[in-house]
Amino acid sequence: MSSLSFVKSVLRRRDAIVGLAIILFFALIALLAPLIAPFSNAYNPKAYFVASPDSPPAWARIFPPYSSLPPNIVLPPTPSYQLFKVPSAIQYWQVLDPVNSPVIKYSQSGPVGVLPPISGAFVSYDPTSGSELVNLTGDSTTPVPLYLYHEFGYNYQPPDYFYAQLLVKPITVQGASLAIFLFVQNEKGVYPVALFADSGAQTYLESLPNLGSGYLNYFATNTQSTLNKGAWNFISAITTASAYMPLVYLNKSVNPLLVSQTLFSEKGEYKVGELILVIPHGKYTIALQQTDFKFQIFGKIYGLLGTDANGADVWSEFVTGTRLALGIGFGASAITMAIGVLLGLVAGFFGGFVDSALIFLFDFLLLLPGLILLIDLDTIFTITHAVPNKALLITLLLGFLGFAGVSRIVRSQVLSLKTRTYVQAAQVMGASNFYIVRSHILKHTAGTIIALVTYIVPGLVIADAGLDFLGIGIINTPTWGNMLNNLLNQATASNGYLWWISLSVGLSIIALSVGFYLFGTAIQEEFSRFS
Amino acid sequence: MLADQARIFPINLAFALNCGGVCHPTGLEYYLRYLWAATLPIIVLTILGFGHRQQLLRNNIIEEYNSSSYAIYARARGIPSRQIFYKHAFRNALLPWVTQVGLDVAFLIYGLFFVEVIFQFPGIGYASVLAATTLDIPFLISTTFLFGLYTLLVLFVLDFVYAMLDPRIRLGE
Repeated sequence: MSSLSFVKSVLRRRDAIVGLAIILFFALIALLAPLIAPFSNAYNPKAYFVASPDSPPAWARIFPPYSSLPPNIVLPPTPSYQLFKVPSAIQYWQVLDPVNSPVIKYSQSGPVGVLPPISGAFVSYDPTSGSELVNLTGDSTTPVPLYLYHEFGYNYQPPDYFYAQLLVKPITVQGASLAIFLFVQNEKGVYPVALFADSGAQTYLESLPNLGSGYLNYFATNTQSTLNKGAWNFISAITTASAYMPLVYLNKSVNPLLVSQTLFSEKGEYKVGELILVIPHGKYTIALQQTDFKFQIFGKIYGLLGTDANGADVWSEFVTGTRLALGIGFGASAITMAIGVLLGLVAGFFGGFVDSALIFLFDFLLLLPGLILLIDLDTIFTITHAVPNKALLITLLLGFLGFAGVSRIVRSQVLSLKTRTYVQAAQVMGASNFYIVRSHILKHTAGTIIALVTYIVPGLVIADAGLDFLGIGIINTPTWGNMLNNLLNQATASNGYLWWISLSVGLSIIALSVGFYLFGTAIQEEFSRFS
Repeated sequence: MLADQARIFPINLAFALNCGGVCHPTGLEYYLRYLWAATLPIIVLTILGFGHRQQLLRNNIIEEYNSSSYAIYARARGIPSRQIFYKHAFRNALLPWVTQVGLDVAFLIYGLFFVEVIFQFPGIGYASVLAATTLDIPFLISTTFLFGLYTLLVLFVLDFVYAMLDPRIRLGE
C-alpha cells in the first residue's frame, strides 16, 4: 500500500494520462511564459502593431480565404542589418543611376559608365557614428539622380499599412541643390512616398513643366519638408499619414486613403528605397551621412495566434493569460485547501459545539451569494488599496471565500473515518489526537483532498476569468477574461469574429476543466479502490 | 455571432427593445418584443443549466423507481409499471428537483451578470458591474441590497412550496 504503487495505478488509467497531459501542457506554457512570449505585456502600447490589426495566425494560410494575405515584410531582412551596426549592411543597398551615369564622377576612380563597388568610398560605413556616408562629385548642369534601393518580390493581396523611414544629414553640399525622395517602385512606375528638398531644389521641382504645380502644392502644405544642411532630417513615409505623401499631390489618381492598396495592387518585383536628386550648376561636391533605410509592410497574417485589434501579438496575450490564470487558480486553491482541510478536520474530529459553530459558518458561506460578495469585496479592497496587486487580491478573495465546500466534504469524510475500528483502537491505546489525525485520518482523506484540488482549480480559473470578463478583475494585463471581454466589442463579421482569439481562449478553458476533471476523477476512483 | 450573421435575434437587447430609439413599444407589444429579444439569453442559460438538472432528476428517478420499497410493493401488487413510474417514482423524484429549481430561481440571477454584459442589457447585474468598475460604493450597496432581498424572498417562498409538496415536512413544528 505504498504511495508509489498508488501513483502507478493512477497512471495506468488512460483518462488520467489524458487529463495529466492537458494539465502539464498548460502548466508548461505558464512556467515558460517569459521565454515563449515575445511581449511580457501585450496590452502595453509598446507591443502594439507587430502586424496589421485583426490579423489571423500565419498557419491560417492553409485556408483559401487567407491564402494570399501578406506576411510581415521588413527590409533589410536580417536583424543585424536592421539595427545598422555592422559595416556590411551597406552591401545590402543596390545602387543605380540609370539616366546620367556618365556624368557622375565618383570619388573613387573607375571606368566611366560602370557602377563602382558599393562598399567603396561612394557609399561607405562611418565607424565613429555607425552611419553611411554617400560621396558624390562631378561636373554637370543637368540633374543627377542616384537610386539606392532594396528589392523584394510581392505576391500577396495589398497590405493595409506600411512605412519607410530614413535619417539624413547633409554634411557638404557645394555647387548643387539637393532633394531626397523615398520611393516605392512597381512595374507601373515610381511612386514618391516622402520628399525633403532644400530651397534650391524646391524651386527647381516647382519649375518642372508637368509636375510643377503638384510640387508647389506639396511644399506649400508640408512646410516641414525642407532639407536642413548640417542637421539630421527625419524623412518618413507612413500610411497612417498618407495625406502628406508627395504622390498624392503629383498623381491625382491615387486615393490618399488607399495608398498602400494602390501601390501594392500589383504582384511582382518591387523596389523601395531612396532617390538622391542632385541639381548641380557646374562642379559639385556632395557628402551625406545617413542611417540605414527602414521599410516595413505590416502583414495581414502573423505568428501563432495572429493579432488583436491593436495589432498586438495574441500568442503573447494567451501565454501571459495562461500564466496568470493558473497562478491564480493554484494560489487560490492552496489557500482554500489549507483553510478548508484544517477547519474540516477540526469540525469532524472534535464534534460538539465546535462542529456546530463551524457547520454554521460553512453553511453561511455556502448560501451567501458568491458573485455579488466577490464583486463587493473586490471593489472595497480596490478602493482602500489594502492589497498592492490586483492579481494577489483576487487570489486571496477567491481563496478565502471558497473553503466552505471543501470543509464540508472533508468533515463528512472525517466523521465516517472516526468511527472506524482502527481509529478507536488507537484512541484506546492512548494515542494523541494529533497523532490520530496525522497518521490515520489525514492519510485516508488524502485521495479525496487531492481530487478536490483538481476539481477546485478549474472553478477558480473560471471565476477569475469571469471577474476579468466583467471588467472588475485584473486590468491592463492580458488575461483570458480580458481577452474575451475585448472580444465582445471587437468581434464582427468582417474580421471573422476573431476566431483565433475566441477559439484559443474558449477551448483552453474547456480543455483545462476537462483535463482537471479527468485527472481528479481518476485519482478519486483509484483511491477508493486502493484503501 | 449566430445572431449577428443570421439577424434573427438581437444581441444588443436595449437597442432591440426600443428599435434603436425609433419606437417605444407599450403594453402587450412591449412584452412580446421583450420575449423576442430575450430568446438568445434564455437559450444560453438553458443550455448551461440543463445538463446538471437533467442528471439530478434522472438519478433520482432511477433510485426511486428501482430500489424504493413502495415501488417494489406497487410492482408486487401488479400495478402497471407506467403507472408506478408516473404516480409514485416520478412524483417523489421531483422533490429534490424542486429544491434545485428553487435554488436556481434564487441563484440563477447571478448568471445574469454575464448574460447582461454579453447582451448589453441594462439590468441590475449590468448596473452592479458598472458600479464596481466605476467604484461607486452607494450604487453597489443598493444593488447588493436588492440581490440579498431577492435571494431571501425566494428562499423563504421555497420553504413553503417544499412543505406543500412533501407531506413529511410540516410548517411551524
